[in-house]
Amino acid sequence: MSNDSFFKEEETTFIANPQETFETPFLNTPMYAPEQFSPEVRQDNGASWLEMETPFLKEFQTPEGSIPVESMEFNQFLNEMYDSTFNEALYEIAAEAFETFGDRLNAEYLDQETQNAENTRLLTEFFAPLEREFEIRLEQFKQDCGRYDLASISESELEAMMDRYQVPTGNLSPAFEEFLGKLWKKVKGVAKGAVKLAKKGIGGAISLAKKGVSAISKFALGPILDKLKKFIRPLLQQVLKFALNKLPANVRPLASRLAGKLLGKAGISTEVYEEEDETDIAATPNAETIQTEFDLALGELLFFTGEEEQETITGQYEEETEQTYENPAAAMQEARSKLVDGLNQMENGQDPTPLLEQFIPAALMAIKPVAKIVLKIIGRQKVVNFIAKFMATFIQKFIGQQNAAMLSKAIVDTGLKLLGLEIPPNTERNLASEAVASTLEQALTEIAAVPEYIFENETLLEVAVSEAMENAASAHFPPSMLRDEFHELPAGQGTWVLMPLRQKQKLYKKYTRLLDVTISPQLAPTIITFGGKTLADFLRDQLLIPQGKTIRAKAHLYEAIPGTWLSRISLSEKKTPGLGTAISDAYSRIHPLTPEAAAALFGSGKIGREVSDKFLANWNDKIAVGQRFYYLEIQGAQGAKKRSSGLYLVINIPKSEIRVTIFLSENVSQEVSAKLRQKSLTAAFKLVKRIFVPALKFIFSGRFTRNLKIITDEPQKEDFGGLAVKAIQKLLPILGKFILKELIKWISSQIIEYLKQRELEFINATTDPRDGVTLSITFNNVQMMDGIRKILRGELKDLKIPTSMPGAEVKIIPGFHNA
Amino acid sequence: MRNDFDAFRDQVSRQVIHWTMAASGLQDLELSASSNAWTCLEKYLGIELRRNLFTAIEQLQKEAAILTAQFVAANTVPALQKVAASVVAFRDRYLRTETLVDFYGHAVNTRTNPQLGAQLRAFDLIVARSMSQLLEPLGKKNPQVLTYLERGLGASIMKAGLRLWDGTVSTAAAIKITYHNRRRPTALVHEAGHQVAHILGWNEELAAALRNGLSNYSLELADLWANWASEIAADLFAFAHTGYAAVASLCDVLSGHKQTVFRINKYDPHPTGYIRVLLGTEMCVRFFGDGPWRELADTWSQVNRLDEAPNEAKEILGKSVTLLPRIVDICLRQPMKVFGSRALAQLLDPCRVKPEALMQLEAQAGAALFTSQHWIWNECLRLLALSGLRIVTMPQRCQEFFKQQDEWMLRLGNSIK
Repeated sequence: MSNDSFFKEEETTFIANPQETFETPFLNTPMYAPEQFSPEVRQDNGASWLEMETPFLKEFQTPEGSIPVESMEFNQFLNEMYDSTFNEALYEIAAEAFETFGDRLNAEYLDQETQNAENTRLLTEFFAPLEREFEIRLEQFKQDCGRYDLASISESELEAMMDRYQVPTGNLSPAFEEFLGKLWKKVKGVAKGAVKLAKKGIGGAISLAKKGVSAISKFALGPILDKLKKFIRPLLQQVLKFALNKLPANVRPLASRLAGKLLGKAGISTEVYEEEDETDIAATPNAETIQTEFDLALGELLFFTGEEEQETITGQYEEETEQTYENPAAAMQEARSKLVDGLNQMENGQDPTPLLEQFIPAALMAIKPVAKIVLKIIGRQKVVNFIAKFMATFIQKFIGQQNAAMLSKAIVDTGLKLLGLEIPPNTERNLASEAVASTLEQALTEIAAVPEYIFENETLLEVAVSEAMENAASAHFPPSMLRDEFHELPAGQGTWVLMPLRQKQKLYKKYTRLLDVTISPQLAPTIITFGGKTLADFLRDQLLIPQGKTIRAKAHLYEAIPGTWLSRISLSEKKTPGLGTAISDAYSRIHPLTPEAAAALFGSGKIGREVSDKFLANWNDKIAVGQRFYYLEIQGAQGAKKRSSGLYLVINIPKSEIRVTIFLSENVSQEVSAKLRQKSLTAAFKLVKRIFVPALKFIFSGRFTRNLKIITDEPQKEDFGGLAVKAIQKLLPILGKFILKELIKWISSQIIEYLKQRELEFINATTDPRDGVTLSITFNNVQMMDGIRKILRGELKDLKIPTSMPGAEVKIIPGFHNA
Repeated sequence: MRNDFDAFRDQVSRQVIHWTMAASGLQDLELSASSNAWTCLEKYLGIELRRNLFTAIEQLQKEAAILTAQFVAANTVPALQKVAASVVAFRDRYLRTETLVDFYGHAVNTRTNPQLGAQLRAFDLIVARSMSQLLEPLGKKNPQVLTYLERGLGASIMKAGLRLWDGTVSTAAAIKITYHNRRRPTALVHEAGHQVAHILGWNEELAAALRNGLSNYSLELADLWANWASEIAADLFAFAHTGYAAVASLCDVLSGHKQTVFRINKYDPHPTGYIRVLLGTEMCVRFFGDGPWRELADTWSQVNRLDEAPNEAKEILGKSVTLLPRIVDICLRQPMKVFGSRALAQLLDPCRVKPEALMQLEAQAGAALFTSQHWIWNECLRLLALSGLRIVTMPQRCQEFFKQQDEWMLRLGNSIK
């Protein structure tokens, strides 16, 4: 074989007979030992943290070397506005829409266009009360604004005043109330920002400053609130698209030309772009995009108060939200359906290659984010032909009525009936075709992510395709048809089937066997679930199972496909006790099946799936295509979902303030309270320490940034708002080296002192009917801020950070409150 | 003119159609209980019950299909006569399945509104919790529990694991609680005791222990107590979980005419009311020391004077009274094989529900005890013991305690999905 690039145009064929060198995981098929490649070595980016790249824009400075004050304020505003729970609230209302309409949003008897129109109509009506309530609040606030002297009131007074316009509970569904609460928080942010800017005489508010601060409410806030009212519908349009998987999954919003000026990105176009270094594909759109876009638009309203500018901003936001995107999940669904239909029609011995040649490009378009390289190469028809030919040979023995029947029976025998999953009469063949289609789809996704050089060498590509097919087949073919080493579990039990079985539109995959699992009190704390929490936290806080109990459960396993939402898996699982609805009570019982969790629970890591940390952040955050999950069916664990204990950290550099918010779940807060009543301060503190120390360590591990907010006033290279902290993510372990110990020391001493001095206050808070208590500790005048700023700038040489304990204020609030 | 065969065939046909349609009509479970009542069940229980009922109905429908096939194939009078006989057999079979569906349907249908649904879910959980505390350490599985409301004086149970009317085996224990005891539901735990005794084989071992332990005093007395073992086991279980509240509730149910209080029936597994109450108060004395139970025992003995008992009961009951401390020890402190060679009191220590311990629980949890999901969920049995204790020891404030109990039970029930 020539060493030249493999895919020369003049070559007519580069594989004489794929079957000769082809290996399969199936029994009775000769296998050859694959060529050994050195495992790819992951580059250690942190070779020297002194060389760590900083996320900040050093070049975005005035000729005098300082950053423009408007730019600092704008960045600070965006960082302050970002609220990770806003994303959760967005997810919840989208989930509630599915809970309300269920199959009506996926009615298979309607054509796509009619369905789309119907969905839009249903969801618009569904969101209407939300829109109405928000507008009423906003109008009331606007009307009342004139009566207040906004210039003379403090930030906290303004906040308290605005709290009066909160939506009263009981009128709307809990998800709507939660969302409106978060939305109102954004309005508060805008109002506070307006007052602050006008007082400082900054940015768009400069003109206001000239009129005097007393003009704030009349001249600044009123028009801003009017414009803000116009944002609600586009925002809900985005939520609607989000719910229908019609927002792109891997797109970050870009600053408009106006915001770009302040962010130092004036020349950047407003085209969307995809994230780099993507290896996993998000299964659904990202709620964060909606928030960031919204925050940007709000920020622009605040900083550009000219009538014309404001019109432009409103128009731009509306325009952005009207933009339509293709639905990759629907595209994959269509490609898969066509393939399944095609396979169903094939006769024994018929060559499936032409069918695959149609499927491959269509499927690759649906997984575009990871398929950039292959899409670039795919223009060369020969690559498609090669992959198609190879795959065709692989699946040949399952083509045709009799072969499919055999495969179908083997799948049914893995335990479908035990799961209560009945195959509709005369559709058995479909099951076999779906297994083949799933194998091809997964293999293709894997192939699409291989490095470019693989496509340049026949052998390498052949190995890549072969390995991808083996991996995919080991998941989708029954163990009875696979050689032992390809079984995902040692005892070779079930296989993965597309669900719902009776529905053409597939929403997820399910393992056909329930796995018995015993979780000892020693094992539970070692299994990490979403957000870095442990299974022990989940069992204690959410299922209210007393610690120290050994749990026996049946595990249901699921896998995400394009378009999968955990809430929709839950909704579809009507026959699974504990699931069956799209509400968070149910879907938050589904956990990520990482190789580590799989090894701990089922004795085999192979059935787990490794995904990057961003897909492990939260139940209602992003999940990846191919990511696996488990749900534990535990008899007697019927408790309603309770929020787990946790910690939220805000480092506000401009304010020299560190705020630590520790939420103690109902269980933990009652236990602490009981210890305080017994006058056992040590035991009480130990319980709190068990929450905040691991949580802080987790934050500074840099794995999850969800519970951290760093408010800076310095423009960053690429990101802004909530995304800023993600840019800083890599620096967190370094930051942790400098400040973690100190932070733990400060928090410990504040909590001990608080529990000692204000024991009764804590106890009283735990008698409130709301679940759990929130301890908020604010450290003021923190001297280490300069040090933190330097770390984030990458100025680490001879860095010294003062560690003297700052002054602090501790507050307790019944129930859950985020920072 | 039609011949006899045709006329006969029509007769049989009508009956076949009638009963096979009746069988298929059973499939609609909402005929036996409203859909709202079904949704008031905890999800696991609802699924399990429906599954069991559908299995029974499916079996019946298979038999209906066979009957129909027999009818279609019958082309002679003798063959039709056979089918007619099969119709009668099928009708009996149908009635048994209908009884089954009706029984569970009625039980489910007592969840007439969301509040009552929540309370009964709380009862389900309390019963399940009481069983799991004993069964789990012994490696046994808890059955599902369905509690329901019914008229009458006393509670009752249809145990899980028993063969039902139609021949299928019940997988959920169905426990009846009476309307009058809805707010003093310790009888639920007594009934749960029957279920665990059945699962563990406790009744037999307790009977043997009582017979052995008392035969030195009197064989007749030993036999009598051994005969009462199953009810005593349930009383012990209720006492170990809910303490004095269970004893006082039992006393209130047993109070009645003298003839019934002293009646001894060697075929009745229920101990004579007179001694049963005193056994309960003796348990309190042996485990809790002094307390209001002494007063209850004294009053009970004064109201039901032993010298007024029928002669045949007087002696044996009098002797039993003197042996009560020994009997309590046999019952609660003697190791038993079914408990892994441990005593019941080692596995379910009654001291957890002695008044001091309950007060300590209250002191530990404060006002949150009745409002916090943490305490309600994890301590529902001791809360039942505490509420019951207060209701019986402070009757002047019982309305307040009933209200408090209603509220925490509602919270508990509403937290179950």
